[in-house]
Amino acid sequence: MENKDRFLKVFSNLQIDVRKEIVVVIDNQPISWDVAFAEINKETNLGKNILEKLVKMEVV
Amino acid sequence: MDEELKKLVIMRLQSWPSDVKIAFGSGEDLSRDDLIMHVEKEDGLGKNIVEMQMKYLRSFKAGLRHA
Amino acid sequence: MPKIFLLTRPNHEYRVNYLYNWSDEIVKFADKSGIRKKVFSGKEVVRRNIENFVLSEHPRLAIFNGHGSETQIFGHNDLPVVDLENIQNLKDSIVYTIACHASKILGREAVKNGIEAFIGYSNEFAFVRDPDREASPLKDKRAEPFRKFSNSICISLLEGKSAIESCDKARALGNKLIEEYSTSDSEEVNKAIRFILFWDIESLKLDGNPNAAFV
Repeated sequence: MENKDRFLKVFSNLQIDVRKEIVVVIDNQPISWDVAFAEINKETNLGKNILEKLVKMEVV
Repeated sequence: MDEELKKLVIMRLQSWPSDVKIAFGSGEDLSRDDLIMHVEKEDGLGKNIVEMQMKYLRSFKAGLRHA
Repeated sequence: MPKIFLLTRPNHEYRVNYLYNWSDEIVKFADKSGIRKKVFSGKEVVRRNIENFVLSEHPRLAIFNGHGSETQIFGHNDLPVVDLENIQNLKDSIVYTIACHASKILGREAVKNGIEAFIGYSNEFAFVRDPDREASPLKDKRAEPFRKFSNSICISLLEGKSAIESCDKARALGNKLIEEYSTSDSEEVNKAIRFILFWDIESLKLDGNPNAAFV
């Protein structure tokens, strides 16, 4: 399964309040699950960066 | 301790309300800022907190928490 | 072994006072179920009292509230009531303790010394609390999920469920509580409640016979 698909599968099962939690830090900026979803879904450069870190941390 | 994970955990803890009190064993109650201090010091409790925070984040992947 | 259960609940400071109050539910359940019990409360929770009772009555189930360490369970004024010197007195019993870290060493040693099952926590047992509710712990909404989690183990054991069933049921309840505290109407403090519930679930540990039951 592609990393993006794995992220979407995890994200779709997250409860609403959990989605507001910080899941990764990029360039000293906190990124929540919601923000990560927006960037990864749109396949932005930031989204690719976020996804790479999430895979490295074994969060997805 | 991995600096990136440490930074992530500190930021996650910083998002808690400042008046949170946690009864943690036999010492004094710990506040949000006390937990952050332990993580920054990388002492026994700090390392435990980081380890548990990462376990918690990874538990969503395993489908243990679901909407 | 006689079907008696022992409960200790010191209350010399505010944290153990929470556990003292939480155990009212356990005492009421035992009474309603007609289960023979011995409860040591407050200043009664001293080594001599516990040892004398255990040696004469051989309780099948022992639930210890209070602080602890890797090798000790404390009673009134945080003085040890159970440790590596007297743990063998509880031979053939099932033990549940909320005492911090007791499962790190005491649990393992307990089983080597003949305790049938030892349920405890490998880290501190932690709970979120509202300092404004210190005088009335049962009204503390922040602490409520932690009360439910710990008490579920006690109630399951008293119902005759095995040690492993009791732990699994508690973990399932803990996960369900995390979900309940994750909905869209969550308060800010729920972030802390969710994580500390997870902490307790992960720290819960069973040593010994998983099929041990209070029968």
